[in-house]
Amino acid sequence: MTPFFRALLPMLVVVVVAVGCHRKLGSPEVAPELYSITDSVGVDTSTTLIRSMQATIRPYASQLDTLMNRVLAEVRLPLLKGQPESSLGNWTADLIARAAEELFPDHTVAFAVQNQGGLRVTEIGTGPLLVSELYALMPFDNELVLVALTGTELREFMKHTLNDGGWPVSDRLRAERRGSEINLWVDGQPVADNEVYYVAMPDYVANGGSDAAMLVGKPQIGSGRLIRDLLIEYAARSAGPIAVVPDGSRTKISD
Amino acid sequence: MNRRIFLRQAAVGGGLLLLPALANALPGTRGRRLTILHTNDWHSQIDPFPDDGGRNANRGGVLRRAALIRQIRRAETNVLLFDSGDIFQGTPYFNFFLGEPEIKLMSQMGYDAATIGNHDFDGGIENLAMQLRHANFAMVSANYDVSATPLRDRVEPYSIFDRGGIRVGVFGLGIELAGLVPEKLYGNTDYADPIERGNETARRLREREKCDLVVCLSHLGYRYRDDKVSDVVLARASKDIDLILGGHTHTFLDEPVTVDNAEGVPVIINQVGFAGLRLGRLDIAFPGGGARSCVACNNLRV
Repeated sequence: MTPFFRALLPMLVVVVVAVGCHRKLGSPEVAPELYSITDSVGVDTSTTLIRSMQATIRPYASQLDTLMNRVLAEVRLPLLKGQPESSLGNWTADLIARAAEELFPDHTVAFAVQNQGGLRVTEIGTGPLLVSELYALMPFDNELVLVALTGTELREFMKHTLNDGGWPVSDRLRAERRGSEINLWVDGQPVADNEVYYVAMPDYVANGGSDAAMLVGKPQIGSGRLIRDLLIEYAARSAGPIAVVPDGSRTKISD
Repeated sequence: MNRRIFLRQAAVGGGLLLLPALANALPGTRGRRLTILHTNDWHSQIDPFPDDGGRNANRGGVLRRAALIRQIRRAETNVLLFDSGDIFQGTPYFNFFLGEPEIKLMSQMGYDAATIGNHDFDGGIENLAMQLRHANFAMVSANYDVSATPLRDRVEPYSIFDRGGIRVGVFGLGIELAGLVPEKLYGNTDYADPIERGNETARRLREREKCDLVVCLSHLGYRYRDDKVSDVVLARASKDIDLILGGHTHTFLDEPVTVDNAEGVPVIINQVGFAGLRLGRLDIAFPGGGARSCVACNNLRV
């Protein structure tokens, strides 16, 4: 051992003892606790922490306020998310279909489909429908696109959505899965294998999101418009209060 | 060495502030104590949910969370605060300000570490890197290789904290991004197998870094019907992880779950829903001196 290392030795011993100190801790025992964050949690606005956080939020919040509190329509029956179809899903898909029909006048839009996971609230309650609620419903910046699919390709895609429990579709589609058998109708006509169908959907799905890998590389026409912005625009055009009652005729699944 | 970890039953009446009572009831007050607080998937929920008659009306909100955290910090000496990802996306704050207020507020609340959720890429990876300039907490991921991305200097595989002589190793695990997040958003992030990287990292924290507690911040999801990797799958295949604080599936666990690892040693998994509706708390007592056996711990249970 070199003198240098011999000089270091006492230091090494100290290090080993320090590490050994950790090892002396016995097996940990964990006591869990859970706090619900409700209005019963008192916020003491005199503390520096809360004051500084309020100061952080204030400029952002005041910009959002004006924008978000605009009333678009009146909701008479709650819009609820569910599968295989639901009031929230049908309402959303129908608005997307209407927007697509106007945005793509040169194409026949067969129907609109929205991925179930892309609806980010479980419910829109009754009363005034605010812009903020549509941001909550669809926070993602997804563009509305039209995808051209043959009947065969459409069947493969719809099989995926039906195996996933059923995604929201607009009113011109009827989709049925019995076991592994898939039947589709557009405007009451059975989907033909070699015909081309123009389906409106979020670019997220068209690019393979939500495991829709079968859509990757299929012809796509962009609209340059975000689906959320379109929902805001088309919801504001609602004639009368919104009251959607799904009758289960769009999507049927049985095993 | 495999340290056993014991889980006590959840305190009754969750949500009540039982701080003084809890502090007295815990064994190991003569040993060392650590309090871990955690959230996941808070999804830009800065304000409480609106008063719209919905299920979560008037719930949540960062100020209340901060008030609660502050109260706990005043009662406890050794506190760590973690988040398991999906900080971004869900309210207009994100659409307009791209995560800037969220990161600033987490820094103010005193978060110690967080991991990356899939939605944290929603503004693009450059945006995430830019917003993390406002962070005074660690961003950890052991299975996203970000060395060829703007996150290079912002993300570490793990972080180590010393609280009152308790050495806590914390690492992150993220979900597979392909098919979930558009490629242009996550850029050159390379996803690696969470189980392999998780075990490697936990072993390093346990053996080389001599951590007393190894914590995984996971955004893999609690569990799935198929064999997709989840917190439960990870726990079963793991060797040196004590705690998995999860996210992604927005699972409201009313109490933590224990799953036996590859060596039959229990791993504790917890997840607290989403949107900052809940704050999870785990008080961890280490009996001092190693003198007290687990039987004695049991005897001290209420």
